[in-house]
Amino acid sequence: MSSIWESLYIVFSLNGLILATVGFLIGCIGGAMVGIGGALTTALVIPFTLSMTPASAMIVLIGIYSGVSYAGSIPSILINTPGAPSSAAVALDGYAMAKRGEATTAIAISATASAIGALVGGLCLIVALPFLQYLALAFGSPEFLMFGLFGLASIVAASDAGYLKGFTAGILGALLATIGASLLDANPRFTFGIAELIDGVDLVAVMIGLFAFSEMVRLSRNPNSIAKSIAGLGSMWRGIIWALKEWKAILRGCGMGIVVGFVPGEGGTVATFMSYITEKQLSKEPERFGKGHPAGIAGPEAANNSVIGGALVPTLSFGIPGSVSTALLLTALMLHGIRPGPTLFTNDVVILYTIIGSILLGAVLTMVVGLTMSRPLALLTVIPIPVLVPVVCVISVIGIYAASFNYSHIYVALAAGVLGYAFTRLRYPVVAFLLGFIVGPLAEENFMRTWQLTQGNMWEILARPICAILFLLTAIVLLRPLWKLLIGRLARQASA
Amino acid sequence: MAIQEDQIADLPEDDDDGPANEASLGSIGFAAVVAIVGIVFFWQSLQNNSPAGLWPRMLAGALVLLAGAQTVTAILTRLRAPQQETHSAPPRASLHRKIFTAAWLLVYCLVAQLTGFGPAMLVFVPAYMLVMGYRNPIWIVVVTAAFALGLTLMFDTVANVPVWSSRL
Repeated sequence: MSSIWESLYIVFSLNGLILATVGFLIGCIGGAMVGIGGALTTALVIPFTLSMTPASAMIVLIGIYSGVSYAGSIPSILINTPGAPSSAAVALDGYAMAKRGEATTAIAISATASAIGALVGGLCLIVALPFLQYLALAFGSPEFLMFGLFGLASIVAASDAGYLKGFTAGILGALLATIGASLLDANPRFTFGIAELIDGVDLVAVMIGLFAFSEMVRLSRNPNSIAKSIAGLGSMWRGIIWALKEWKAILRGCGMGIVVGFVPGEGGTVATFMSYITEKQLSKEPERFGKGHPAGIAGPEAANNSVIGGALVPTLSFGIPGSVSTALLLTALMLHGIRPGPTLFTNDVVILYTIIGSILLGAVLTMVVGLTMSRPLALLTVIPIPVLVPVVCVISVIGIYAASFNYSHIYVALAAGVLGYAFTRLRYPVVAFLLGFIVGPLAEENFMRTWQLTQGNMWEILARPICAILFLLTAIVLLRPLWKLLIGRLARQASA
Repeated sequence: MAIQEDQIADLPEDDDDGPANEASLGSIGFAAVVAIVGIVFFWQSLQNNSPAGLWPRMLAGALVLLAGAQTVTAILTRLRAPQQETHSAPPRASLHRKIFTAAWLLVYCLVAQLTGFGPAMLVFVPAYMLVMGYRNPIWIVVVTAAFALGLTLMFDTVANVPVWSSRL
């Protein structure tokens, strides 16, 4: 117990508050800059933390992590360009709200839900860490495979474009993700003799092309600005109230973020989309989703930020990082002589609770900074399009280059931009493509392992409880709209 | 920088960005192209005899079926109720703006590879603003200069990206 108080004293001391705020602001800048992202921001800051004490270093790095998680949604809401894949779900309703002239409201909903998500995630980490360790261990290849399929089914069901287009987009994404050296034997696949494709198709380039480039071309048809005037940017207080009214969506999002967030890879992305589809399916007005429904922002944002706690479970418990950002965090811990794993819970308890305390502080900062900045940030939507478009395009191009220092990725982004524009025009769900692209490699790796494990008899995996639950959930997600249609038809026949 | 009416030339705003008809030539063509992509990938995956070919083969097979079904459905819908093509309508200003933006972006990427991101930006950003109707020369200079400074600070100084070098 004294360790907890010692940790809280370190985190909430003046020194801790300053370090966390600096880290959070750096994270906000990195997260909001398309193409920079959390990994690069953390990597840039780690050398500066080496001269600090381990606790101070963790406060700064967790501050960055919190800032990145929150700020990735800002470009999603303002210019329909996610700062990270996990922020793509927020763009669906956030951008619609910004276009409607309520950018301030949308950012305030996002900040409030993010803060609650991070807070609940951090508190649950304290309580549930011992249990989540076992859940993380229960995930083998078959579970990961079913998880990937469930994620894809969720987003297909969430789109209004219909299953045919949804699955086409998702499978196309997963197929294009197979380009490059195979995960199994490193043999190049579908490179068509182009050496640059051996490394595969870059995710950052695809994401920027799909969202930023296609959106900028689409926006350029309008000579004015995204929002009509400064007067109609919405209200911060309205955003807070709307977010609090959606408390059920926030709590559901938190639950999904905590449970799904520990899955290595893209648990956060899947959690946000799971939250979005759940809210849409539970809503009495599903037709308002995609047109600026507050629950479409609040749920995914809570999920996205409660993931912070969940993602640290495998990192801290077993030393297995789930993402590049957590891998860098792990590196920083080891550079400070701290060995993650079960011994962390006995030998370095102060550091463990300093990390958890920093997550809680990050939640407070998200609320304070996020709400303070909601109005100034919303002004971006009244920048004239002839100024906004070239600036965003140039930043995006340099951002792609900064992520990999490979110029060919910029041309990949241009191709993805053409695809993204075609998708929008022809009503294919762009997010289904993106999720297919992200989940595809994870699903392939685990499909092959499961294939070998079951010797081709894939139905065997349904005997595993988690697989059976995920299979059932996938079936519910896919069949629910058909079920609703059937019930509606029967009701109409009965009334006739 | 809020909207200032006097800075922007009086260009019409029109909305031609609604979704295309399900049975339009564009929809049919796109579904057909996706089906062809699926066929090419399926064919290529057949050449891969290792287990690494199994997953893409399954995906490509599913893609061919789905995109093929869409193509056939769209063609049948079109045959049942012929669409009114809009290609006879004169091209609108918004279409020109979108084509210009796409071309501008492509040329910027090509030129930046030779000259560096920064020098290309100094020409392309003001040019875009001018062509797209942003008429205040002082603001054009201010925006370009501020943007150049921001890029230098963010990318060149912090992220170590050579913004002003042509060696990329």
